[in-house]
Amino acid sequence: EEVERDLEAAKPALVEAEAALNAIRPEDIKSLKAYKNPPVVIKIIFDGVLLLRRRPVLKCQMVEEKSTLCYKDNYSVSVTMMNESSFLSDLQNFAKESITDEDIELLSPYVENPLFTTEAASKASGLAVGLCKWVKAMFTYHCIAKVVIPKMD
Amino acid sequence: MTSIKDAIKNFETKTNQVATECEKVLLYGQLPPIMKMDSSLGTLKACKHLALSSNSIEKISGLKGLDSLEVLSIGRNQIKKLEGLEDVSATLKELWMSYNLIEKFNGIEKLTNLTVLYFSNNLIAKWVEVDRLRELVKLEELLFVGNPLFEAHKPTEDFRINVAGRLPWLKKLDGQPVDDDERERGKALVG
Repeated sequence: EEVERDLEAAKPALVEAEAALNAIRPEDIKSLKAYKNPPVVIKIIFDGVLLLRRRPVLKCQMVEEKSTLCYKDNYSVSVTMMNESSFLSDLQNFAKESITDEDIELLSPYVENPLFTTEAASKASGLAVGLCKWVKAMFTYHCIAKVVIPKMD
Repeated sequence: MTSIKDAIKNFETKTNQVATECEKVLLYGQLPPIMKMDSSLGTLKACKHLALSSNSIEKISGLKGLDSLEVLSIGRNQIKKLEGLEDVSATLKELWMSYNLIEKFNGIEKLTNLTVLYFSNNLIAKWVEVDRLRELVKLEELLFVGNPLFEAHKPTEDFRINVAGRLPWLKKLDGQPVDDDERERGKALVG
């Protein structure tokens, strides 16, 4: 019972992420593709998605964007990912149980970036909001599940 | 670049802790990145989990004195070789080093207590390298997605079965449990 109650704590984030993904429409992807150089918040969010999916990313190269220090982005790879017809369904079906502590640590510099907020994302695009919520929910899910699941045995 | 000393100071300021007393020392994602490990790491006597991921380290060194180290996290750096790990081989249980530039598993055989090896997105291209992991009889979990060897076998189940045949004691591969069916088929395949 205790375990179930604890896992409940992860639910709102997961429900919100699912709703956010479902709210993304093909037009949102189309409008995002129109950006030649998208706002930095979008690049940060997409790099978070790449890392969770264990896709290749560039080495850590520091750049300054709008007076925020961050890593050189992988946006061209992200565009390729966005062009995959299964892009959204892949996120919906993502195996969140297979997230590792290492994934979370690699994601941490992105999630800790002051620009990584749904508020900043909402100024950029609806798709960015959905992806931002999704990344956050995966992060939260793992951190809760990691404490809870060992108790199940 | 950020030195190890500065990174430790940053960690202490951020968490209001004394690093030499901490079991978990988080030096990941420094901006500018850490480029060199050095002997100031050796002061972290209580450290069980050292996090150096998301930096620009090219070489593993300076681990002497980390007598309690169980988890070394050094993913997303620029490391080409498995070296400098002798000093922690007696205690090290988990090596997290996805997103590096490693082509060969030479040197891993010294880490006989390893139970977890996260190694996605490196440059392992040959089965002979995976065979070196046979020395690691306590290994339970392996992450290998994104290596050229994985990519070459991606369209088929062949990869999982091959690994299961070579390392039948493995419990988890790329986040999914390995089952007896995969071990049996792997055994038949690898011989």
